[in-house]
Amino acid sequence: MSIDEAPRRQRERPEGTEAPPGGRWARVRARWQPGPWNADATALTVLTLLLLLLGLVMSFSASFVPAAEAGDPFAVFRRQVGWAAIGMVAFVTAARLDHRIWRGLAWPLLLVAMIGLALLLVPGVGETRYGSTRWIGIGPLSIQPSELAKLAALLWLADVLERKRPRNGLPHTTEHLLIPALPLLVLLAALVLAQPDLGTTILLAMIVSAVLWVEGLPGRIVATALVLGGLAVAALAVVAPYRIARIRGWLWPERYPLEEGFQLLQSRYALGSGGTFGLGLGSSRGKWHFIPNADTDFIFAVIGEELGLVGALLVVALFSALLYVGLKVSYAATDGFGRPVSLAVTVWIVGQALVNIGTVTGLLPITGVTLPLVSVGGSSLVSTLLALGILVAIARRPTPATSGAAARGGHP
Amino acid sequence: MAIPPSESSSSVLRLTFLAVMVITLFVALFARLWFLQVMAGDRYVELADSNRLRTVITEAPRGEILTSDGEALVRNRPALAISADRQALLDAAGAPVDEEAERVIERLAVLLELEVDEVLERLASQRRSPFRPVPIAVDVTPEVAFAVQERRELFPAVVSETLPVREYPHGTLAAHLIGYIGEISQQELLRPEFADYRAGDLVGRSGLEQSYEADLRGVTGQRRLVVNARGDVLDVQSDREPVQGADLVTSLDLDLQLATEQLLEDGILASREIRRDDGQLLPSTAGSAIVLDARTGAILAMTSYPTYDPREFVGGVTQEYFDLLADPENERPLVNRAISGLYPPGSVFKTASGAAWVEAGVVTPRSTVECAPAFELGGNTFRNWNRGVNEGMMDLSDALTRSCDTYFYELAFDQWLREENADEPDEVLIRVAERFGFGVTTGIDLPGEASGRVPGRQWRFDYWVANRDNYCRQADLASPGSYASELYSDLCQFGAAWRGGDAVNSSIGQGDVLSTPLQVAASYQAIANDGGLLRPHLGARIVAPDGTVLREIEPEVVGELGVSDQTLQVMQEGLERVVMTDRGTGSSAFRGFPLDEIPVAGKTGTAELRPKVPYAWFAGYAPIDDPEIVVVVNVEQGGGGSQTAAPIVRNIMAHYFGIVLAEDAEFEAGEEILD
Repeated sequence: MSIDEAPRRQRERPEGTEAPPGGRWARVRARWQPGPWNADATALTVLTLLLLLLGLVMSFSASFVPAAEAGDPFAVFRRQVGWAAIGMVAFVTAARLDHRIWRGLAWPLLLVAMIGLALLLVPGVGETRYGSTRWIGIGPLSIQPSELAKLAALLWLADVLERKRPRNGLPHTTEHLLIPALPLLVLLAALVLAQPDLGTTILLAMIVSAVLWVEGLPGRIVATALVLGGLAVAALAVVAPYRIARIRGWLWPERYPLEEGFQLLQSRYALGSGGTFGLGLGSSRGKWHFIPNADTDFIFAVIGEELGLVGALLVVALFSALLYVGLKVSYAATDGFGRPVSLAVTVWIVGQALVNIGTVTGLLPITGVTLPLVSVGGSSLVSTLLALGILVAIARRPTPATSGAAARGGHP
Repeated sequence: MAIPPSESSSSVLRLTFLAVMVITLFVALFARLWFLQVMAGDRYVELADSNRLRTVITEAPRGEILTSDGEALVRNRPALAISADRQALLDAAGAPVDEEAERVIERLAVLLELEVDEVLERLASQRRSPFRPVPIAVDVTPEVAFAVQERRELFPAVVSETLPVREYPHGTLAAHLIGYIGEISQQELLRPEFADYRAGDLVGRSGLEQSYEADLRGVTGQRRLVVNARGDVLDVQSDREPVQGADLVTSLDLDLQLATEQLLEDGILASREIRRDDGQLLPSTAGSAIVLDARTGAILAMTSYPTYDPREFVGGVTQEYFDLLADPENERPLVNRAISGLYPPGSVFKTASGAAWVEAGVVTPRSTVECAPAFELGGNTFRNWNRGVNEGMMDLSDALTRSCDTYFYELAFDQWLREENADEPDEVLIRVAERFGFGVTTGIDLPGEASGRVPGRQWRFDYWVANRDNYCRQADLASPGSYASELYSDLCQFGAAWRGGDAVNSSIGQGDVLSTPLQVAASYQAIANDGGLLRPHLGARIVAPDGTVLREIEPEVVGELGVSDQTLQVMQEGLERVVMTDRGTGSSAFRGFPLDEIPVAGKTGTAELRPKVPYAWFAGYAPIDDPEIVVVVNVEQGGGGSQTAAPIVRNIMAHYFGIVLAEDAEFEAGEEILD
């Protein structure tokens, strides 16, 4: 222990003794020095960039039809490029800082996310699209607080669990795991469901369960929670007529070709038209107003139509690779904060991709979840890139084995 | 590592379990995609091809514009047109994209009997939407349309279509009033009032087509069809029938409009034969005429010369014709001079000015002022038009009858002195002239009406501020001691002052006073109508296609002259004598007109706009006891009002009252009185 503590102390108290040259940023960097760059970090960065690039190309291809009709074919694309630039700044910044900096930032982030979500409940503040109030307009920008909520929730939970970690090195007791997690999940789920946004609620539950699972929550409790959650989702589906309609449209799209089944059916036509090698980049017919939300939730259908099975599988393969590297980082994480965070980020991004692709291919009912890094959407892109940046920082494994000591010694 | 083995192994186990689960899901996705895209792909391709939506827009027929007795001035007819896709044939620079496109254009030129350049020019016309086929020829024969339809391989990107086009049964009649329609521009599409328009839609560009756009337009129909790849309709998803635009019934009297147009044109052409004192022929370059219903303000006839042919605008105006219309050499035929032409009103303004001096208290309606040959002011001589003759003492009535300038000069100067000595000058002329309809728009239901100007101290000051730098520069440039040098240095230093000379000039509608013929007409109608100023209007009612009246456009009183009964009576008496007595400046033009049956009142005007030949004005109404019509004629550079404008008014009145119909009428110039 004492050996492990030494480098951390050094890092913690540079200010008084010798202020490093440069401004505040330099001081922050000096204090939160990340570990050495390694193959995992490279792999994550390459995967992120590949998905982002594919997303930008496809977001232009899928959006230019309605954008051109509105006057400027590049309008959606240009905005997306802007968001990607902001997101890359977040990614690079996060990747260059020790991920434990986020322990201190978890509380404020969660607070901001909650305030954002609560503001949406105030009539007139949020922007309503497709019957759901998910966006807050700030000047020309629309921001989706639930995107921030996902990241904030996992950081906060990981931080709390790390602080409460038993000193004797034993796993968390069940109560210790559930006490912070459940109220948080209930509160966030209530706020998100009020928008209403069932898809994000499910994702939040997935993220929280993933953290708890890896921290050792007994299997039977997870199983019970899954069953209860399933029942709750079913109940929510039954009380809202539009959700039943969606399930009908999911199960029997051909019976309601112009109503509930329209979107799914059009997406299948698009995927089917694509065949093995696709119609060619830019040649989608579905995006000419046939597939609703062709540039956001259903961008995968356009990918499948233009790039074929090859392109669709490439996207699946990229997310699979992300899963592999993410889990590898999680296995190898050297501290009790980094491990759950890396797992939760991986589960979140890959899980969201799974749900989205499952939706588009008709394996799951439509919930309105975007394809991370690929779909058009600003706040989602920025928060996903930030999360991936943190994942890269965890992959860099700064100063091995300090976590246990730090955690047991209390949070600075 | 620091993590105890138990925790580590449990965590690792759990992570592995999770990984296996997620990998299973991904395998499921792989399988699903394989099924959808490869195994069932063909089936979905088929379904995709058969289940497509197509939106079909059905244009709503535009409403018609009718005369008061229901005769169409403009209506619709279907026309066969040959159109071509600009983007498939031309590149951004307007040249054919390839040799194939070049050959298509050459074939089109042969088929349509046009030059290749003409086809290119029409195809590239920037007044056309790039999102719709551009009409190359409208009104082609069915044979031409068939040729295009049947030889598709020779004419790729070319279509034959039926377009609803505007038809003008009476040709150029009332062209300025009807206006024309054109494709909506990209800039207009961005404006909120055109929110429900799409690129390629037609929109009223001028005249009634523009002012009654909302009524005439109708609602486009829209059907959303589910069609298969061959375009066969499988199902109708939604259907909105087009709603035909409503018809506009105007107050125009077809017969009177025809006559007015003819008589104005005849008069203008005939007056060009008149030789002036200096030996030159009268230019009579352009003109306008207005006939108002004296009781309601409805416009019975209105015309502006020269005119244009609205038929040239059907299916898109050619650049050549548009250039012709825009060329100042051709006197700008697109301008409706009756509402947009700005002229000094000259002596027709003396009613307003006379009323102003009575209101100011510098004279009473019956008190007299000497009608001297000239009025001296600060070294300048302001002459009466009747050079050198002292016409004796006159009241307002006589001053109008004889159009005595010096009467108005004298009073204007008296009032100017009072205003100069007041702390806050009450500029009576501006105030009263506005009640007479000068310096403000009348509110006629036509776009592009000018408001004119009655200048005063504020205007002079603003004008000086705007032009001071120029004056001062000119003063520096002029050779010292020259007239120009004195003039400009004076203007540079003291140009902000509203001087006695300005007031004197304004009092006879000269100087910087400007008005439109319509303002003059509205003003004289108020006099004929015993004081009530009405809003002139062309629209009478809006009628739905099924004949129900959607809206009546009622006469609207927009103001009062605000003069005493005595003043009004004195003015009416003076105007009456202008025509009815030999002394009157307008009497010569009405020789032979049965004035005992139909007594006429009016006022001549000859507006100076040096170095041009004066502009001729006449404003009159008849019959005096119960006025039915007000007629105003203006002829640009037509010499004296009595000489050119009054005879045209006489002929219009003769036609209206059935004395001499327009086809038998002759233009007989009146005496040359340059009042």
